[in-house]
Amino acid sequence: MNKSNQRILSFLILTVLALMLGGCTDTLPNPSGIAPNPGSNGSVDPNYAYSQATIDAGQRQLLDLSIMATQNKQNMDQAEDAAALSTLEYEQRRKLELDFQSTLVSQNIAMAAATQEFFVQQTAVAMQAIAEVESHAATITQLAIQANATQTAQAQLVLDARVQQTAQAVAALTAYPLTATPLAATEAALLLQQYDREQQAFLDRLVVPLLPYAAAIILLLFIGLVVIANRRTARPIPWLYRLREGRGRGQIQPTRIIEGVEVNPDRLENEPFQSEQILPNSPHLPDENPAKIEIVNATEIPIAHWVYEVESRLNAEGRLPL
Amino acid sequence: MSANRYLPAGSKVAQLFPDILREQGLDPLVNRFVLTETERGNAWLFVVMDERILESIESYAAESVISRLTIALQGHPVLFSNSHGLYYAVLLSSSNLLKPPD
Repeated sequence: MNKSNQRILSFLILTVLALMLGGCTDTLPNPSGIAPNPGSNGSVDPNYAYSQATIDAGQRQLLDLSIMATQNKQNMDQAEDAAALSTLEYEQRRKLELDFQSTLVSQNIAMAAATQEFFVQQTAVAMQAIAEVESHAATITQLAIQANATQTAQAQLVLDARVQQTAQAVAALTAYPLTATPLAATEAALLLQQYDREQQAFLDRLVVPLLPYAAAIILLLFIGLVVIANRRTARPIPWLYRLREGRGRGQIQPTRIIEGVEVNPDRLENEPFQSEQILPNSPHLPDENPAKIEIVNATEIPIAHWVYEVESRLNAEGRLPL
Repeated sequence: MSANRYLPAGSKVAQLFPDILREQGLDPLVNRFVLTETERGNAWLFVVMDERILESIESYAAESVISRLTIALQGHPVLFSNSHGLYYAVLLSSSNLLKPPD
């Protein structure tokens, strides 16, 4: 806008100058341009002088205007250059700004991408955490379901037991009126009698005939146990022992005095005292040892001490046989 | 030689011994009967008594009781000892040591 106005103003000034030059040509007598010397005539026309002055002034002004136009044109060129330069700078600044903005945008894009990736990672982590939580929740739910099922089963058992008890109670309450009436009581009594008769018949047919045999078997077993127990104790039966003594008393022998001591030989002679000379090499039977005699080696302690002592005493008394 | 061949004689002595003590007014506190035979062939029956006889050990060791036991056992030597225990010793392998008086 400013540049167009300057051009229009320069054109108008040039037009005005051209019109002024045309007017001045009609008044000049010397077209060569040499101004007449009004003094040659002896006098100077004031108009001329004025005109000349005007011309001069006009020329000066024109020159000035021309200089100004030139300057203006130069300024305009400079302005154009400056404008172009400013435009270039502007464009460069603009480019820099755009680059800067693009850099910012790129950085923003990069940050946005990083942020997006971060969000993606966070989302993945969150999804994994959610999956784990859901898995735990599923496990807990499963356990809860199992516990609930167990409790339900227990409750079902309790309920079944209650139902069974109720059924028993109902059955009892139902059965009571059946026997409460006279006819039902009579029928029940007849059934019981029939049952008793059947039991009695069973006993009469099968059990009673076997009783004598069972008694005989028990008696035999008892006798066998007594005999076995008697043989185990390995002691003579007392009445048999007395019987043996009684038979020997028919031959009573006189009492003898040995070393001032009264001796009744019946006891030993009727019950022969058997030493090794009487029963040589007789086999030993366990039942013949009723007094539980222990046979011990003479070298064992304290048997060895006992043997040594008694043999020493007998030897000292001269009673030990050689 | 085995002491088993003296077992019948030992059994007979074991049966008679408590009765003989009882006849002498003694309590037959017998713990066990031990039969043994030495290398020289002497067979001994030891009648091991309970420690309760210590209250009246003089009665059990009296000469009259020993003599009564010897005679009742047909002259088999009988000894009483309180060394290494309380016991009577009956020599079974010698018989007829004590001849009855003529």
